[in-house]
Amino acid sequence: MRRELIDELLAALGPAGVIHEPARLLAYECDGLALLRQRPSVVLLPRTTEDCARAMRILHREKIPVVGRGAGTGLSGGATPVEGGALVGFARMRDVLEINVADQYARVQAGVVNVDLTLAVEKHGLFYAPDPSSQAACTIGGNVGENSGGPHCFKHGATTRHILGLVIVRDDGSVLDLSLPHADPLGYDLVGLFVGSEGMFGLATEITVRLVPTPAVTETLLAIFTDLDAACDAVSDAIAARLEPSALEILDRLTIQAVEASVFAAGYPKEAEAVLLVEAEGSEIEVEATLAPLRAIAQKRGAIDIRRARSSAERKKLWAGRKGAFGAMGRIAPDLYVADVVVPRTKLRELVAASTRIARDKRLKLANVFHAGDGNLHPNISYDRRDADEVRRVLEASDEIMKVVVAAGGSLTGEHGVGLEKQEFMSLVFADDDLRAMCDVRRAWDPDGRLNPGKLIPVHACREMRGTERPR
Amino acid sequence: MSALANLEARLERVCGSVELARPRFDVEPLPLVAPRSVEETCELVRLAAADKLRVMPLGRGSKLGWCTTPGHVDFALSTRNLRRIVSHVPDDGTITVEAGLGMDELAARCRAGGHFLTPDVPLPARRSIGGVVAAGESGADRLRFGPVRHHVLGTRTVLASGLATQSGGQLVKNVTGFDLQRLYCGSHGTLGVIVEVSLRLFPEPEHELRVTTRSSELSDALALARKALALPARVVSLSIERTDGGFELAARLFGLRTVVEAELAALLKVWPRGNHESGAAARASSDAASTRQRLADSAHPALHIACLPSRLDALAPLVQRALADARSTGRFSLQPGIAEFDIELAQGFGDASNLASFVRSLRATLSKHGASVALRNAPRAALVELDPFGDSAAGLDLMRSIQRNLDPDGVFATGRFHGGL
Repeated sequence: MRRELIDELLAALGPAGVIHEPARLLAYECDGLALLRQRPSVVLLPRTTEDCARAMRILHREKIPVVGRGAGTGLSGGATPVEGGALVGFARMRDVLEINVADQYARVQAGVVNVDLTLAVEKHGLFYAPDPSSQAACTIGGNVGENSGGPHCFKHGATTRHILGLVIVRDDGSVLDLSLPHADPLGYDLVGLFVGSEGMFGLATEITVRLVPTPAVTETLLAIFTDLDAACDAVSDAIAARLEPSALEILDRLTIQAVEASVFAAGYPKEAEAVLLVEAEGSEIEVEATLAPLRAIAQKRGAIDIRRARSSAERKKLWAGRKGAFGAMGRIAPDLYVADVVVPRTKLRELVAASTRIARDKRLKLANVFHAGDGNLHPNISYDRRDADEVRRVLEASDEIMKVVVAAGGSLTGEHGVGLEKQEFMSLVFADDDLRAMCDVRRAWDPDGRLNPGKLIPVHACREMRGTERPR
Repeated sequence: MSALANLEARLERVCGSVELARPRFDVEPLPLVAPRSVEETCELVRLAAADKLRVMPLGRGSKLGWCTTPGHVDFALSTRNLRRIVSHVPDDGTITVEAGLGMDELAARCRAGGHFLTPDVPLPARRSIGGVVAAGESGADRLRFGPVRHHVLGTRTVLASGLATQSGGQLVKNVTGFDLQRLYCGSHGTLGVIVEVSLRLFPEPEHELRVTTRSSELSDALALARKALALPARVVSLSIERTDGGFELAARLFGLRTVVEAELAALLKVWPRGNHESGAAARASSDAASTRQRLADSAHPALHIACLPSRLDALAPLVQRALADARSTGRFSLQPGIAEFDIELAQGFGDASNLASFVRSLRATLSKHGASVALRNAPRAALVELDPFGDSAAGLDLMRSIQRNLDPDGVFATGRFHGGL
């Protein structure tokens, strides 16, 4: 990047707001999808919406592509930089701006870490419901970009159901203030449309989120199975029985072993083929009325033991194991490919089995840990990126899993987004006309296609945008 | 052959029959077609695009009064004959149906599969799911379940190109692609014709109760409502309605029997004079007694006011005073849990300009409390300088740009929605 431009950005954001030294830029060359890397020309770290707008006006004038980044925990390459482009990070925008207890919402800067929001509001008897496994690091802004999920989204819904308002810095540096929390949008639902747009519509700098009252009672069960199929069937039965716990999660044997050998050890039995982690919340009567039939279903499906967390500490430990599972898999191999697909909940068993079979045929180690209640599978493949042949087999397995899932009525992603990883698979799910409508809407937000270019939409689908999709 | 007869003949060739109808009370009769398939819908939109005709999409027309009278329309296109159930997987808790299916038929189908359909809208037999989604109409049950836009998993929408396009899907969790269904939901047919809707369903309650109590003053009714909302109970809906002798509060509870019975006991402690009905009786009297139901059936102008719950205590007396000053004696319903008022303006307004002045003045007063005021069923004359949806929204230019990009030639009648969209 030209020196005078760096100087102008330094003048706009101050020295703490601009990273341009090549060695320091290295840290930003990929997100959680480490297979894809690109060093940005510059990293900008605004402190306020006004900072961000100032920087975006300069980048607009210079026609420089922009990629937004929360904490870089995304797993689909959504925050992979673009060659010659700027990366705008939100690590310095970590203020909780307002907590409105009476109306149960909070207004936060985009860089607030997910778990910190709940910590900030829990003294008011409230919490922020979407809880991705990376919640100790990922940001609310990143969650908005990806429409992130998490175990408790089974009951409470993904991020989009919890976003009441946004302040957005547009491609040209103008500020769109949609932060007033109205019950219904006036005009088109721009907020709903923006959530999950993967940084291609604008940069959300301030976010108004819905808070949920902390339940009176929360109970966690761990059902232990000697067969992964049986655990899947228990979940399908629970859905078919119209039960409404707050979370239904499955971990398979390889995951259990990795977790139990790690600092996240939760007391999962290492001899089990699968465990089903169930949580219910509400009044005491409601929790009991929900868990009793779930216990019966698990037993009918062959659970050899059903344990109930006896204390809050034990409950937290069980969840720490679940949320630490991806990290724990570092013990199996140096790298982890976290797949993310969604299947109809009536087909859990067959599609988990199909994923396992595909990995086995490719001589790969696959561990399953997933949001079973939502049908959101995470077939995780451990590999070593220094082994080119293994990398090839990982990608082939991922492709095959996506194809099998889509053919069975499933979808490409439940919470990680399309990004770069699944861009070319969009045509499995959508026709060109569907994708063209997405391009038309995107063009209204970002006429030059400078925001997170080359992501989500396969280039062939937007012929008229081809010239701007991958700027150099 | 006149131009109108010529158009009718061409439309008839596509979909079998055409009628002359007045989909809204203050528009001239115009040709109305009701295609029998998605393919016919596409063909009709292509015909309009080729001949530069303007189409006004509608479901059963029950909410056209929410909008401004359209400028120029060549023909109306109703989805009322699109009534197939495309896919229903009860054990996955999802259903996909064509847009013209009545809310009553859809609810019955869901019930047969062990599920409850939200939104629970008034007059379900006169509403189609496509119309409800296109208008973003939520039910009083949004207190428990949230607004309708949260339950639309995907849509199939015929755009100005005459092509049916998919957004979202049929899965309860899915982030593949932009959520254009969120854009179509609540867009009042100004971007395209929604022809299919996929919905997430909720378990049919094992037990259902309607609990009522009375109060002579609105402030007391609000205090009782606050007590009910502070309980650890998942109230489905809560309303305050003006009756002859004061105000009636009604709370709806449903779910597992043991849970509902416990919630009832807790509610009766804070509503000591409360009465309750259960099961079908509760449902029937809830429907019959609902002012929302009667308002939905009314041709009188009506107000829909929304604010943050914490502002209700300040706002309610202002609304009451404004109605008294205007000598309006129409029906009045307040949903305190979701902070929404529905008010019929049956009397007290001499002419359209008086009505417009009243709404403008009320908006000025209530906007200080962050409230929005929508005017429904307003006569055309009252809307000359008044947007029925509210004062100008942030992002209106962006909305216009989205509309222009999706419908560059203006195939779908514009000017009906907020800000002239």
